[in-house]
Amino acid sequence: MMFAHEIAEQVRTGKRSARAVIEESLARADAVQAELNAFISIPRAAALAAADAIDKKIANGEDPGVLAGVPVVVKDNICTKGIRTTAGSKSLEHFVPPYNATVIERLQAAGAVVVAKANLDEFGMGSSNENSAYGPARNPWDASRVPGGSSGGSAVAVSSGVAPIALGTDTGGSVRQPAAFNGIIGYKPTYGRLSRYGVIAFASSLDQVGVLARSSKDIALVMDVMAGHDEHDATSIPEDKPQFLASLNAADLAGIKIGLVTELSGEGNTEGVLAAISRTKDLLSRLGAQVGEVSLPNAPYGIATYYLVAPAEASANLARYDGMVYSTRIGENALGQAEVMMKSRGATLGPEVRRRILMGTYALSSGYYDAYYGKALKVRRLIANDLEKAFSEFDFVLTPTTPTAAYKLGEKSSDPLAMYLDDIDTVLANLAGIAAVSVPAGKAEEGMPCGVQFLAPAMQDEKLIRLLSALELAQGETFAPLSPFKG
Amino acid sequence: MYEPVIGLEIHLAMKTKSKMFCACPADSFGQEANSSTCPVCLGLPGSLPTINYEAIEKALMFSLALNCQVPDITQFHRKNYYYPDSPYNYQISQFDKPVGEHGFIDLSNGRKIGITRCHVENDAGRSVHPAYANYSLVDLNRAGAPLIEMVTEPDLRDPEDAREFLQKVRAIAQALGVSDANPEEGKMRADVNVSVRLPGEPFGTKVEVKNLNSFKSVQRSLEHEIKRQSRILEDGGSIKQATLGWDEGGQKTYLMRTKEEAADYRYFPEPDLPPMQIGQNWLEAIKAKTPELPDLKLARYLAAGIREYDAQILAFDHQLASFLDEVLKHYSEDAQAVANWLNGDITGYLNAEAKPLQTTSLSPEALAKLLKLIDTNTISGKIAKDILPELMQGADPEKLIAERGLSQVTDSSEIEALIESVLAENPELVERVKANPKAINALLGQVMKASKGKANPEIVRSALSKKLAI
Amino acid sequence: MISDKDMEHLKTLARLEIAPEETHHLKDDLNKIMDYFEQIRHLDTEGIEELARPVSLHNIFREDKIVSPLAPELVKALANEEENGFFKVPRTVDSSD
Repeated sequence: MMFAHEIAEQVRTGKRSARAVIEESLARADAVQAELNAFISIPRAAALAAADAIDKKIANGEDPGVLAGVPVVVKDNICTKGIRTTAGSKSLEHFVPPYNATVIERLQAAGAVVVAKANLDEFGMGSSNENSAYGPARNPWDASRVPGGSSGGSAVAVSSGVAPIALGTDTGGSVRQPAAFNGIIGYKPTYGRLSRYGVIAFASSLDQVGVLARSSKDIALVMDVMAGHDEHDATSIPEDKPQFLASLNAADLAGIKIGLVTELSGEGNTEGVLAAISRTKDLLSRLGAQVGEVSLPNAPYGIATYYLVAPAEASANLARYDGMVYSTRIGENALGQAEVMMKSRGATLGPEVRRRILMGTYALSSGYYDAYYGKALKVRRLIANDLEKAFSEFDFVLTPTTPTAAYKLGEKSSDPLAMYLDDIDTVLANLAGIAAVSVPAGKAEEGMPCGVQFLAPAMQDEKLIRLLSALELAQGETFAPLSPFKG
Repeated sequence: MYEPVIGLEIHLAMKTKSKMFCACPADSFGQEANSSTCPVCLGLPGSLPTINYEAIEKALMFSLALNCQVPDITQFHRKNYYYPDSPYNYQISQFDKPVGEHGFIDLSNGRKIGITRCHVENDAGRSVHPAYANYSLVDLNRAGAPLIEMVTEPDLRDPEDAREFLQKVRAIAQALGVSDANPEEGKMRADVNVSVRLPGEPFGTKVEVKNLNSFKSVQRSLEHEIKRQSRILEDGGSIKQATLGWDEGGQKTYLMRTKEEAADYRYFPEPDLPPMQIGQNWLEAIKAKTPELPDLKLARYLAAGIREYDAQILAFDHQLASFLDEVLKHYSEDAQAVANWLNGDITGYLNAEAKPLQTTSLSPEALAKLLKLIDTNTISGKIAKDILPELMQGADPEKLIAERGLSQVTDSSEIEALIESVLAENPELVERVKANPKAINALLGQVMKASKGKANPEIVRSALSKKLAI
Repeated sequence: MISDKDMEHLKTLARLEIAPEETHHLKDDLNKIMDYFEQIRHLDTEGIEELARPVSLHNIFREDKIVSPLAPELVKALANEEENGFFKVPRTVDSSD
């Protein structure tokens, strides 16, 4: 599978038909699906029809868009009009959205083709893609291991060569962590740069659509297409003029100051991850950057903060899945509405989702707001302040993406708290609303990929992607290889 | 001997084009079920709310008119509860920073009724429950419609006061164009909280009464509750906190549910909607475009010479007031005369026809002309009343009078002739009147009848008196 | 400490029917997690304002104009059950709040 920018160039200039590209992508999806279970739906007919429409435009001399013929895999919590969107849940098993998410509208207007809806942890809740009502997804580097989550299927799609680009969502690390586990790039934009309209909400003040890819140029290309103010999303940044491709041109790290976070870069990480950090520091120095140390004193409280704020918002966002109109209904009408709601929700929302809804309900409940949710929002500000202070001294902040590489299926699922603690590096960017990217950093234990994370101040996304491209340039072919999975 | 303590909670449907948080029509009256909906008001996965600017501005205008304090920053909160007609199972409402607080309205008896707060929120849809069925039917057309909720302090002491308060709120809402505020169309809904106590004692246990469809129901239900609660307390019993409904047919309250623990709404700031900074500039602009409030109209009508009783009615009825102001542009000689017509025969006509003024074809110019015609003795008052129904349907009075020869007879020789003929035909009556001059009205009546009502009564009377030398 | 009674209350508030055994496990999970959260309860946040929305925006409004609603056929197609365009749902006992 070629990169997106290569595909677009070939299709636009007539060297290859969109149909051929999409057929290849669909074939690859079929080939990997049985073993990796990365996809919930593969809308073959719609994808081929879209490809044909692009070829027709080209034949007529019309502009097919800058992403003409590029296959895109979309996490199944992003609404695609006319294509089933389940959020990985039984509750939305039969939900076919009558509208597109804004990011999908924009991608399709630019000629991209949605080839699959990717598996995920239900409603975005999880870090391993083991919480899906449609079965777990598996890591193409080692199919006995998790691909990460919640955007597991999206990451697998890119690392197994089904598509050059996948969309995920990132609430506490759900794009960056699976990217690290799969050896690819996972980028979470500044909160508000990508519209959330049509993105099934988990935690409204933390969610952001993210991009998984193997090339900084591909990320820049799709961000220029997708980013920008959306009148349907009151939290999207008003005068946002994306300048990603233009910013790639000056990829030079001379004089750039990067701070490695003390609290997150020592104990608690595996040897393999620490070695990756070390390699990254050396590379950055060779490229002319100055690497120092920075303290984020409240970073260790990130998990507690995140796991109070996110479930609280989720408990309200998921209240609508009640079996009444479009969500799956369990129970006879004769039982009455309250009873049917309880049965439907109990039966169609998975265990992790139920756990978080109860946590969130508790954190908000009368008498506990100040102690839990209200308190967490104050610590959130402390964390944001720490980062602001760090950015007054440094251009970027560096941490591992996760303390370990991908673990075996079933290894962590019995202890929810253990799973939550893996998010320690990634939640900070969501809490503060800033930009973050996980960059492939070679292999850790047992030949599994790992990643390091760069954080940038809010609205400095273009600079972050430019940093990414400098690292990419320096590492060449070894930067983000496809997994060896054959299928 | 028990004194009532009354508070009101009022919901007003705002008169904007689109809904509170999406661009569907705000008013979907008469539309097919679920034909006025979109992903946002349906609560579909992935949908997001956006704030209707006009709704906020109207709410601020209303708060100011109620003498509320407006905050520097106002924001939305989620109010979490499961409710059949609420697709999100939360309401986007306001909690800590509503658009207005600590306001008041003065009643005509001088009592000042405090307004605790005023806030903005979205309405729910509605359900229909077919008889004997195990299902309900939900229509979300109304879900998301913009509402203002206002809550009063428990300052009301009389059901009549409560009614006046509601009328004032309606008048203000209508005058400002904030809401049509008519309970019959569901645009204004009121719930009451009522308790009784012995004077000087602390407040008693209150009950809530809902499902009140008119101002009259509010008043009646309060009267009923006050009696009921007083009787219980007199008998040595106690009041249990509860929510009651009002049975219009039986004219009594009924238990809907006893009051459980106060519902836990788990309010938290709405993350999908940035807060709103209000600022002096915006408030000044709003004040500048605020239409004249009813209290100011009242002052103006009193100054124009309209009696207090009439002026009150007119100032607090938006349609009548607007109409009166238009008439006064064309005819300002006798404002009380206009008031008499509006509050008298015209209101009589509207009540008989069960129509509001704005659905008739009576024009302000027509009424002004009518009054001028009376003033110039062109027609008699009686003829004017006779032709009113036709004016209500759009007839022009001058044309009508010309077509039918309805002009008042004032010519003395014509009147002489009429009198001659009547006296000749009623000799006994003439004798009776000569004997008892106070009976002159009977003869006057005969002359009026003979003239088909067109004779000027004053001229006839004086001519008759002269003729009969009484 | 979340008690059994608390769990029943939470399940009602959240409209979740959960079997007794699982409820028991969840109670243990929740208590373990809530214990972990104690660490932030003791942090000094004197004078610190809540951060509810990560990006500081204000006054984002929509002009008051109508945009065509969704076609009724599309809306009907979403429903589990519908009748004459209404969504058909299990009977509500108390229809007003």
